[in-house]
Amino acid sequence: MEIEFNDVGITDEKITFKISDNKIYSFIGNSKSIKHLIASLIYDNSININGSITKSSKIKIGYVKSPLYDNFNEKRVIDNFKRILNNTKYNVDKRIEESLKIVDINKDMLKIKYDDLNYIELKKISLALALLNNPNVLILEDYTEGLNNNDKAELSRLLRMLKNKYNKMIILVSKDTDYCYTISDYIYLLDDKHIVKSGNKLILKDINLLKNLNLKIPDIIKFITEYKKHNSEFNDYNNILDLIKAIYRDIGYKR
Amino acid sequence: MQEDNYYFNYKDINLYFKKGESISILGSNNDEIVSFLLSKNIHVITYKSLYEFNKKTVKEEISMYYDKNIDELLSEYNLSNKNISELNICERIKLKILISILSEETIIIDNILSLLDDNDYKLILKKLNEYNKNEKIVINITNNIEETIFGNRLIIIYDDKLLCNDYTLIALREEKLLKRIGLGLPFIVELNKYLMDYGLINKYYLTTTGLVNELWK
Repeated sequence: MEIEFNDVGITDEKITFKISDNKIYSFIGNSKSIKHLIASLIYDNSININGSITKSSKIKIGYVKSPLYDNFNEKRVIDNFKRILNNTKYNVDKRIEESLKIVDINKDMLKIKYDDLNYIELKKISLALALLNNPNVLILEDYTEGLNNNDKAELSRLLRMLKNKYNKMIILVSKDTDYCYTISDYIYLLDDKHIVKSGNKLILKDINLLKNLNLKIPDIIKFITEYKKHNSEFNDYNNILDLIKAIYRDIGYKR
Repeated sequence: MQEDNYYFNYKDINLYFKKGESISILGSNNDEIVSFLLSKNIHVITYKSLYEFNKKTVKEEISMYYDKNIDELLSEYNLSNKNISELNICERIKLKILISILSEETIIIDNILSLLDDNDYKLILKKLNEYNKNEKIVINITNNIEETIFGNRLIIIYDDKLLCNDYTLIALREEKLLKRIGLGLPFIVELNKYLMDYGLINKYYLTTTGLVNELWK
């Protein structure tokens, strides 16, 4: 699976990148950045652009859009599921049940109108709709914001399973640097015109850049950066337990 | 209860809010609480409400609640006058909160603050804090435990039961309870707790710099 942007004219700048395979990519930017535009261009072939966007021939994209209301074409929730499954090979009832189970939503929700759903229900049902057609690429826009820790842990489990077991490519379009730091294989940092920087999750250590981009510094990075002012040899850690042990090894004996 | 305080009864739980308080409500009943409040025609800033404005432009919308210098207000909130249909999610939240600050005695927010960009999040916390100081009440119904450390009081309602209603820092000491119900702890509080367990600090430091300086003193 491969998606390639070649000199794509988004604003007055040109964007070039290539993403491939079963990895978790994060396109991180604030609400004025080009992150949503990039997601739209990946999904929608009909947008006129300069340059070229190449996608693998068998690509099938599931897309959870922000605003969440844009994920619904029909008033009743059930009709949105049926619309997607219309003329597919799937047993409709079974497929709907499976997709709701994945996102832990009760099937009673199917009966109501989408604008009566609350924020989290809207998110979860949008994800169920995006997964319905068994896509090989899943785009999630601003999905983790507002989820509680349990829901985030569940989402991580789901995304890792989709990536590792089913070989899917995941594209997070987000401003949630804390979450992206925990899960991303590769990160693109964006402003309102460019890809400013790309690389593995350690690019989120660039505190000045994150500040300039109006993005939150992940808590663990903020702490480690402050700590390194006293011990520049201190390593980077991805989780709090490893961090605590390292601090104890570093200064515990002095107490 | 003093007359000028704010209160509501959700199921068998009586909740009282004092003027000038900033309260976070967390737990498994957040959605039901918001539905309950909306059914009583109580104003709540929900995700849905971010797509419900009365006028065409930002200025026109604000002018319904404010008759002084709107440009100054726009600048304070880092907003510009444009059609509301062109606003991104972050601008919609700022506009909604700005209007509520102008028009409401109590602001109730339903789980939308994490959609703000970083600078705007800090700006809105500052504005809500100023609003609090004018003897107004902020109730933040949220899934995000990190937001709780900016409030005075934390209420946890789980399975229709009031599990906790206390000053935030005292409530956050209920580590086992918070983890059991899947809320966890704010990063800085969890770090403090572990460091206390290891005997490296003996009181809470809620800023990164304060905590690191204490470790290296």
